[in-house]
Order: sequence, then C-alpha cells, then structure tokens
Amino acid sequence: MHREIKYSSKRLMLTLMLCACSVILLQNNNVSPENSFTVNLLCMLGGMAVCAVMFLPAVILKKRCDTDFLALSEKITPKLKIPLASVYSLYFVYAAAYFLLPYTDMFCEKYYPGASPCVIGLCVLAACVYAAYKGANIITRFGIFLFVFALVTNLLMFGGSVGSLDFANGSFSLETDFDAAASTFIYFCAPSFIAVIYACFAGDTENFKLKQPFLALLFTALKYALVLFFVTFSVGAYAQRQDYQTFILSRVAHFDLFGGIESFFTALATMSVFMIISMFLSCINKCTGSGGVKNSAVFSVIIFIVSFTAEWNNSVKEFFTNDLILIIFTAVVAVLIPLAYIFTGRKNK
Amino acid sequence: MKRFLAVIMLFVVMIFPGCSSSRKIETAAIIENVSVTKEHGQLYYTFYKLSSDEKPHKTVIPASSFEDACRLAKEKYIPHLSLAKLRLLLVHIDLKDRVMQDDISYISTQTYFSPVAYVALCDGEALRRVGDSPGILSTVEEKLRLCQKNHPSVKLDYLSIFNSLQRNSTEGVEIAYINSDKELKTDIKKIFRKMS
Repeated sequence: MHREIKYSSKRLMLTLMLCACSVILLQNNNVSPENSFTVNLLCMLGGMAVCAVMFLPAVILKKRCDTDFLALSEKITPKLKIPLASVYSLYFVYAAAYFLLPYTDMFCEKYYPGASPCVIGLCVLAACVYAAYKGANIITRFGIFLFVFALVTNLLMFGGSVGSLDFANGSFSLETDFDAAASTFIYFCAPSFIAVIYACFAGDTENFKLKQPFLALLFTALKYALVLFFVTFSVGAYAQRQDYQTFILSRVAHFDLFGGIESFFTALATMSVFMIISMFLSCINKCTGSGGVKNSAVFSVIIFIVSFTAEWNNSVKEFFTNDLILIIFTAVVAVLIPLAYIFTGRKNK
Repeated sequence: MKRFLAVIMLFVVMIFPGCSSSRKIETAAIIENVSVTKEHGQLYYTFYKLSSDEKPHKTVIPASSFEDACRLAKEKYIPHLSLAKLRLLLVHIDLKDRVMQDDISYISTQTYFSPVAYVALCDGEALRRVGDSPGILSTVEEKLRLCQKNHPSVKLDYLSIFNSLQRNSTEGVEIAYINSDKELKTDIKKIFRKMS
C-alpha cells in the first residue's frame, strides 16, 4: 500500500475548507429566488449542520484510533477491499464529474465562448493527474497559496460590492415555499463531500484537534453567508435573471472607475476545481492502494468520458449534476459504511 | 512517467492556441457606447466603436429593439462585435417609455454586459454631440457622477435601474437626462414600470 508522510491536520482542513467554499463559486441558480435572505441563511445553516454530521464517523475514528476509515476496513475486512475500493472510486468519479461539468459550462459560457467544454475538461484533468501523482501532501501545500488568493479575491469582491448595497433589494421575511426552501437546503448540503475526503486522509495527518473540522465548516458558512448577503442586497433582482449569480457579483464589484474582477473569480474557480479533482484522484489512489500515475490516468479518462457523454446527452448531465444524488451517495460513503465498521470494531473488542 | 507527461503537455499546447473561434484583440470591434433614436417611425441603434481616430467610428442599425440590434450587428454589420466594454447606453428622451425598460430588461439577462455601465436619457442635440466629438464619453460619465452627487436618489446604471423598476411600480424611478444647448447639462426624469 502506498504510504504518505504524515502532514499537518490544519493544512488538510484548510484545503477541505477551500474545496467546500468552491461549491458556491460554481453555483448555477441553485439558490431559489423565491426565498428571502433569512430563509436562504437558515437553509445554509441547516446544510452546514448536515455536513458536520457527515464528519462525525471520520472524526470518531481519528480521535479514538488515530486512523482513517480505509486503513480500518483493510484491517477488519481484507476480503472486502476490492468491493469497497470500487464503491469509493465510483463515488469520487461521480463527485469529480459533478464539479467538472458546471465548471466547464461556466468557463465556456461566461469566459471563453466558442471553446469546447471537453477541451477545457481535458486540460483540467491532465493537470489533476499530475497533482494526484504528487499526493495529497503536495496538494495541501498548494492549498496555502490558494487560500491567500481566495482571500484577496473575496476581499475585492465583497469590498467592491459595498458601494452597490441597497437593503430594499431583498427581504428578511420568513415566509417561503416549502419546495424552494427544500431545494436550497439540499444544495447547501453539497459541501459534505469534504467529509469523504477527510475519511480517506485522516490517518495521514498529525496534530489533530477536535475543533478543526468544525472551524473549517464555520468559515465555510461565513463565506456562504457573505455571498448570500451580497448577492441579495448588492445585485438583487438582477441576479435572478442571470445563470451564475456569484459570477455576476464579481462583475458588479467596482472601486471608483475600476470595475469587475471576473478574471480573478474565474482563476479562483479554476484553481478550486483543480484542487477538488486532484484530491478526488488522490483519494482514488489511496482506495486502490496505488501511488503511481496509472490509476489516476485511468480514472481521469473515465471522468473525461462521463463529461464528454454529459455534454451530448442532457439526461446524463442531469444525473451527474444532481445535488440530491450527491448527498445520498455522500451519506452512504461518509456515514453508513464507516459507522458499520465502527460498530463492528466495537463488537470485536 | 516523464514521457507520459510530455505527451500530455504537447497535446495541451497543440490544442490550446488552436481554439478555432478565438478572437484577436486587433480585429475585435469593441463597442464603448450605444445610442437609440427614432426617425420616420423607425428605431435606430448607433454603435460607437473604441478607436484612436479623431471622429468616433459608428454603425447605425435599424432594429425594433436592442436585442434585435445586437443580433443584426453580429450577423450583418459588425462581425467581431464585442459588447463587454460597453460603458454607456443613451436613449432619446422621446423613447423613454417605448424602449428604455425593454432594453434594460434584455441587458439584465446577458452576462457579457457590465451591470454597472451607465444608462441615461438624452435630447437630440446632446446625442449629436456625443456622436461627433472624440473623448466626450468621459465628460458624459463625469457629468453623470456629478448628477448623482447632487441627487443621491438618481439611478445611473443598469443594475440599480432594473432593481428599482422591479420594486417601484407606482412611484417611478429617477434617471439622468442629458441635454445640451451650448454645453452638456444633466437633469432628472422619472420613468415608470410598464404594467404587463
């Protein structure tokens, strides 16, 4: 089995926080316009609570045995290694397509009309294969650089939108339609995919403290709340007419005569997607017990075929960008399977 | 491993610059401002291109709406049209009820327009001066900012005008009106939301 050198748990959490924050960068009208700001905020807090629950099994394993789920499963049920690796690899392929498809769409629609989404997807995947070959330790180092860049971009985006704030644009009412609130809540559960990445890499980290995953989720919630606030009160009804609301927030940001930081936004989205997919490919390497480039390359080809098919067939695209499927799949691989092992381990004692 | 990466890099280098529909900056027709007028019952959209010449390059397109004008411009008149840097939309005062809201509504659905670009009403003489004089765009923008300083309730850009129209159906929205006698002056006019 490929062994990673132990690295800082804080660094992994920072990377996971950036991965979770990127969900809202690729947002494509998933926050219902029928909801008020307060309802959206409550849905977001509910979603973050679900993410926290998804983290619990991995956190319990780390705290009790200083290991991760994959190492534990290999120890308890070595015969189930291949079926488990298949289920987890399937999950990571699904999740990679879930992030790659909206990104390539956004890139081609908003930034470079005329370019083929498949070409963009291929370029991103080629870079991700190399990053996955280098391992999660190196990717988390890249996370530090990305954190600084994200901080600058967000400061510019929010600071530049303060001038356009108009509180008459949104409302604080609690009245809402149940379906609209439910779809927004499901959308905000999407960042729980980071719990699965954590379940794979928890054993490779050191200096773990219980507060770390919850602090990561708290900062993610803060970022989401700021985006919701500025989209509602700075862009207002104009945002509801646009496909990518957070993207339009970057266009509204202006400092006197200098306006629009969409290039920063696209760069941040690109680097975030690169980091997420690299982490997924690293997870696949860990599940399959391979540290070489072969496995990453094979699975990135599968992800590319999925993306290519989704570009041609709308039903495939709908399947691979469905929030609910991602949440259910995440609950299975982050909570149900690890919990079964935790209870089995306890019985065996 | 190195050979594999080299092949991938070569592949990426080969396909990236060769994007077939790439647009070169020197051939792009970057539109800075658009004005809307009406003559003999026909609407005319005039697109002013960014240029270093003394007199602004303009293309006059007869169309029923801004959406139609943009479509016709791309198809027939300005093949390399780029509206991403549009800074100002000037609408003749007589057309404030006819085209203003429809055009802003269309713009709000398109991402390539900057949401903070200016929109103003104009009289015929001011429109003529904007079309004839180089560098007048900056003067107009300065006048508009001054107008907002003196009247904080006035709405200058697509974003604030669209949002104000969405919520103020009866009170109306104050927008800038540029008129000209000897020099450009700014005033305020109200527009009201169309009831569908």
